[in-house]
Amino acid sequence: MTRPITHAGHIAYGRNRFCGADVFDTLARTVVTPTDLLMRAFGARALDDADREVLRAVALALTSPDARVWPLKLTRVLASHGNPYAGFYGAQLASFTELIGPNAGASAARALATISAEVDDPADVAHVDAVIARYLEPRPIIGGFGVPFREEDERLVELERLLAGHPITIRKPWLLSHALRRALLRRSDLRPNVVSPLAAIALDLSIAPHRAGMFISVMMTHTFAAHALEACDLDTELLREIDVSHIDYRGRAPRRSSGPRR
Amino acid sequence: MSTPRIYEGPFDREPWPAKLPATVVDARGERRIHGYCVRGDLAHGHGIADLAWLAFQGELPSLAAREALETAIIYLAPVHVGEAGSHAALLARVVRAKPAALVAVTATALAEQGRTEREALAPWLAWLDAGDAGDASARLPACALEPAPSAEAIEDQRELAVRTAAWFGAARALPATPVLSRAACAHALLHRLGLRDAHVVEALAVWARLLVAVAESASLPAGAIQAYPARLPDYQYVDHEGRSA
Repeated sequence: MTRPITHAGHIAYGRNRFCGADVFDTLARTVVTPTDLLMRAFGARALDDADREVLRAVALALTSPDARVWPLKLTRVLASHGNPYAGFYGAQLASFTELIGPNAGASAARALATISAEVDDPADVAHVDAVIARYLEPRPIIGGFGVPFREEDERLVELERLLAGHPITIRKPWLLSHALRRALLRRSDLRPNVVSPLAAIALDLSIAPHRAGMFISVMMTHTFAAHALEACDLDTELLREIDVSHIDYRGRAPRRSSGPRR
Repeated sequence: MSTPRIYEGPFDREPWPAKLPATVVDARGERRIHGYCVRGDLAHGHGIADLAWLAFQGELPSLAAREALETAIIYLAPVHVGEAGSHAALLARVVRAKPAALVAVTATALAEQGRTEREALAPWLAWLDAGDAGDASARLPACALEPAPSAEAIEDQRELAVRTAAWFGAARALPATPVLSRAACAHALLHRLGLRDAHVVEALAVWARLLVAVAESASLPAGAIQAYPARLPDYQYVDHEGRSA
């Protein structure tokens, strides 16, 4: 078997390497926050302080930690037998979806990347609008749009407030995401959710579109951790077994079989 | 003095249902599955294929349906340790995962295997759909064929053609030739049985394989890290400039 190549890492006595750099030399000198290493795993470009401010805003915007929101409720149900790993990691498996949740970021980023490839100057509004119209024509829906239960996605509102005046907001991915937003509002009153700007941020950081979903997932892991850990302590009685009085059985009435068929 | 602001969000405001819905297990009194009492009825001689069919179809199977489902499950079962589902189980054993964690890890890997298997067999499932719609003219897709059929596979395929004719009728029997892959046979049986929803098919595939994979993981004792072939494959680290470690 030929030796497969990995760029992810290698351990050697005193010279561990991670995604192209010596851990205890280059990375020890350049890494400022743990997020720097995380973004390196995604293939993002080396972060500067402005990028770190963007990621700080992303993590804050994604702090949407209600115990009743479905993925976090799933976290608690899985952790209710006292295993935080089951809650933390198990619930995040359910993020592997297409049009809702963090993995919608992959579809949103692919859309932006495709549009971006045909646009040299994002300020050329007429050309941008034409490219977007062509892209949307066969697609009734794309990731990053749709806001249930409320007029606007408060996470998006707060993300944009936190990033107001930041240099990222005048760069191509951000501008194109806003152009896409305007086009979809004109076409179908489809409102953007937080995934839409997050897809732009992923592209701005040089993260490949198909990795954008996982990028969003890891930026919200603190909410999963909080619920997984708390549920281990608090939910063992509450969620291991919800009482039958809270179940609405709508199935078949009692009946009897004629015995196993031979 | 200002009034304290009371936060209200969608989970406080919307009219959510008060109860969990259920249509399969009735837990009021002795547990029942689709109406049949487990301790008073199903446990008295019904088999696990009966249980699987009942869970998904809501009725107990006919003899033919039970035989076809059992055959599909057995075709699906033999996942080998080189396949990710079973390999994951072995790795979990090697790192001394608790039994619950080993089973969860294995189920995850097997579910992924089931998903990609269905994707790879999509042309075969489309061929079966076309046959059901009266178009049996298309050639069998390559993804369904056994590349190097063994003598056992050739004989099994002949027998399967006869058995499927008995189960589903001559018009819906599987062909005696060419020889289909084991996975293609399994998925064809499930398709002929009307078990086509991805949740159902992938659950059955995990169920069929889970016991075998967990059993296989006991080939090494828990924690036997030095007995596990860490260099299979033997990854070579190369940085982005092409320098290797």
